[in-house]
Amino acid sequence: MVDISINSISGEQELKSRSLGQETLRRLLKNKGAIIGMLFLLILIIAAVLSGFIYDYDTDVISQNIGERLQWPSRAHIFGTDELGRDIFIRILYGARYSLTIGSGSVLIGLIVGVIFGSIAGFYGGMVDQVIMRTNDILYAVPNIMIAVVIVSLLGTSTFNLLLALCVSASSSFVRIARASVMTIRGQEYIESAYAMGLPTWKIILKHVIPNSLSPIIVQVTLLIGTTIISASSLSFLGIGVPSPAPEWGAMLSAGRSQIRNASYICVIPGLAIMFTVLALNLLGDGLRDALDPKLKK
Amino acid sequence: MADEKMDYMLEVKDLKVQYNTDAGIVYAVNGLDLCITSKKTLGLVGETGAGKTTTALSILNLVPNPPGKITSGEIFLAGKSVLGMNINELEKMRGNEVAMIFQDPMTALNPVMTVGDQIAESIMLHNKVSETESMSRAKEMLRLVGIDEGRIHDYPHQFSGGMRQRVVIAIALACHPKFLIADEPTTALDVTIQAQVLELIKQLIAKSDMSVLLITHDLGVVAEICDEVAVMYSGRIVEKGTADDVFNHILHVYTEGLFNSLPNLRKRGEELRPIKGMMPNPMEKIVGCSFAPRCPYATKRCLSEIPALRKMSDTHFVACHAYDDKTFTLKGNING
Amino acid sequence: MAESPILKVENLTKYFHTPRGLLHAVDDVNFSINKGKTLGIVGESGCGKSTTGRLILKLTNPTRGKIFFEGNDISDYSVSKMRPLRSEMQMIFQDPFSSLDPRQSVMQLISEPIIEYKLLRSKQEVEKRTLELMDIVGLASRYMNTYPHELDGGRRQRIGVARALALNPKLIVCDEPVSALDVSIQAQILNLLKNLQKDMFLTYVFITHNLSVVKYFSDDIAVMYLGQLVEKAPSEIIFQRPMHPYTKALLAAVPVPVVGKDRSVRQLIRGEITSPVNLPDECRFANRCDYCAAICRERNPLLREVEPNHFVACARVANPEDAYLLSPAALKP
Repeated sequence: MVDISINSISGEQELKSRSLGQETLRRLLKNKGAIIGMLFLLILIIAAVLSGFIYDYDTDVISQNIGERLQWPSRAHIFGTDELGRDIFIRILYGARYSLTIGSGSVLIGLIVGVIFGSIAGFYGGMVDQVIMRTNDILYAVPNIMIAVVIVSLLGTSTFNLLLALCVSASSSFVRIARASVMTIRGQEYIESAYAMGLPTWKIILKHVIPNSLSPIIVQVTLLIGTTIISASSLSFLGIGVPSPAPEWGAMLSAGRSQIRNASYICVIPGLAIMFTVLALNLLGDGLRDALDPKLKK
Repeated sequence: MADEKMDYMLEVKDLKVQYNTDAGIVYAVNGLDLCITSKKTLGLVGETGAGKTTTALSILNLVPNPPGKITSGEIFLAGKSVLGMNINELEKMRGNEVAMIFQDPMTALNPVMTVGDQIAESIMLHNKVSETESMSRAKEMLRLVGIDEGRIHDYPHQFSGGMRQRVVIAIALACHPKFLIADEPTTALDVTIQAQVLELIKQLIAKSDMSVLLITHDLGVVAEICDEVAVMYSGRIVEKGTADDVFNHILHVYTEGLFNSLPNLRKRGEELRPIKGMMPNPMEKIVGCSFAPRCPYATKRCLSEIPALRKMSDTHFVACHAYDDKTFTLKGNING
Repeated sequence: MAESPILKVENLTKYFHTPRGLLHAVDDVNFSINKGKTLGIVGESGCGKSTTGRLILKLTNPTRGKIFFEGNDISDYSVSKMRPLRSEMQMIFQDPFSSLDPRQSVMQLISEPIIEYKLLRSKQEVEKRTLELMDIVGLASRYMNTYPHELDGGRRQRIGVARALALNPKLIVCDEPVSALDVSIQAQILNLLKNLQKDMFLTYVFITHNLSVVKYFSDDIAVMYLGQLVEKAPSEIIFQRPMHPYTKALLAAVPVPVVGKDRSVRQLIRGEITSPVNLPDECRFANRCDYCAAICRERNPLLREVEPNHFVACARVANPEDAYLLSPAALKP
């Protein structure tokens, strides 16, 4: 009888082991849309950061140069100049900072608040669940524009106040998602196993429940940043967002309305900037959702 | 032997099926030969990953494509080549001449249609009958499977697991198929309900002239219902014969291992003798006999050459090189 | 010398309040197990065996009744009072796919209980113990950093066993530990569990619906139906002399892997399991029992010792001879 080593019994002898996170990453990187989205966002972030160093706010971004006003895109001004002679390209790059900060900032805060309350509601159920969810329903039902108007009228227009206003609606959607996710995980046998082992409840939530509930939350984060950017732009468009002369894209859109007939690029370019950024976020979000899909059974 | 082809309801020759997943290629079926004589019941036995369900789906050309692909082989149903059929011919055949029942009765039925409608749907699809006529036939089917006719307008959720499986059987048999494929039809049911449903299946087979392919991992079920048995391992058949052949005159080491693994109701206290190791990963392309790594009789030849099914008697076949030696017998010591 | 049993339950009851009424999950169950032995609890879905297993470990609290572990009444123990006991009583779960946290590696899964109870101090000691445990359950050390989703059912279940053993428990409740596994893997795991019992003097409560497995594995067997114990006896006795009609039907229903003349004709049970909600005070098996008489509808029969160590809950079985009367032959006019 030939000596055949036990190693050949299973195909796992190389044991290049991959955790779920690494598996997800691998699947994500196979998705072309997600890669395009990620690249775009990466370039945007780098541009936004660098623009702070390369360009000086006062001289480059907001200083008016009436002599150069209303120039169509050319070699000197890649995106042209607006009605006050400011270079639009510089303003778009700088404006990315507002969109990205407000978008990710409010979503991040909303995420933390939302996950905490949603997890508690999902895990404990009963009265706790009812109280949290009904309060959340009220917040969810109020349009975020209205919340923004209220907060801004109370506290004044500023970037920070805008961020605060957008946090509220962001957190309410996370409360729902976190709750649903936690409720699913709570019923899993490995949670029961943790109880049987004697782990205290708080540890079970932190160590086992929340890490496994993250998948739908992660997807929501990217998608929500997109919608938040649009909300921020809309509010700035209405004049209750970032105060001028800050080069927030929505504000730029609004300011360009008066010139829409003869210098349409002043409106179109910020509009395209918003569109592509949100598109990139959506591509990434869809890619993440597909990659996180637990079709792990062979 | 001139009428050989006519005697077989199903003939599968050298079937190879693979799935192209993004993690790699899964070799589900690797050169399968199978035939079922008309009006007989064949039990296809194997463990998880052996490729039984893929084989069943291939017969009706239902392997999801992508990612699945039948890379080679021939399948003949009552003499007609399945792989050569176009979609219209296939649809005409499915549910009509050939019916299939699946394992999970919970998900096999449409929750928003009454059971009567679901049975009638099949009837109307394949026969030119009126709605009233199909409904009365549906009632007949319910009676046949032991469900009160009055429940014809009930929804699946109003039935228990065992009764739902009876409904599934009713739908399958509604068009009086010549061939039934049953994929683990009782695995998801409780023991006592399983016994009822198996008894029902047995009676229905006896009453009709159906040929049946019964897929299962449970040797008890096979003994209960099947005339013929085929043992599947890693995508191919390693032993086949009549029930008596395979149960009482075991030839292949794997088959012996399967029987040794069973805690027998009769012999308490005797230690279980499981087979060492595990079925190979279907993502590996195997050279030679896939069972060789676990086989105490393996030789060098087994590592390089896949054994073909060898005729040991009129009915009994085994795929093993050890039988080159005419005096070879299993020593009942699969654990070495 | 009568040994004090390691586990004893008295009148163990668990009811659930559902919108449709009171669900009798476990009703008035009594049994005890001696150290080093295995009690098999058998029944079909809905009989309450899994709930019983969870009650024993206090993963859910009883509605009524008492649980004694090593002589101590733990029925009213709070979560914090149970904590030190948890290292003595562990559970092996049915589904090796969902009973392991997918985010933890094998090493983390097995060492978690050790770290949680601070059984060992240094990282090296923990790792050493983990490898020891892996060796005991037959998991090659090279799997230490792999994840559950990369392994097959048999290996995952071995992780589950290692986890249960990590705290050196005295009692392990096995809830269908091999039902989700292939036959040949089942045999491997069953052998493992049996050897562990010998080596570590473990006591098992083995919950399953598979009669052949439970016979192989248990010293005593308790048969449950709709939340109640209907028969309890040593393993051989249950199979040689089953007395309760349900037990007989259950035994008859198992498809036997034998072909040829020794196949006996099977006596099948009719009907379906009734709903466990709002049960009337009569024998719960009455609707499906071929031997049902008027007395069976009057009240729920109690579990009685019909012969030494053999308990049966059937109004028509007062002594062993009665049981023989409840046979197919007796039904013929």
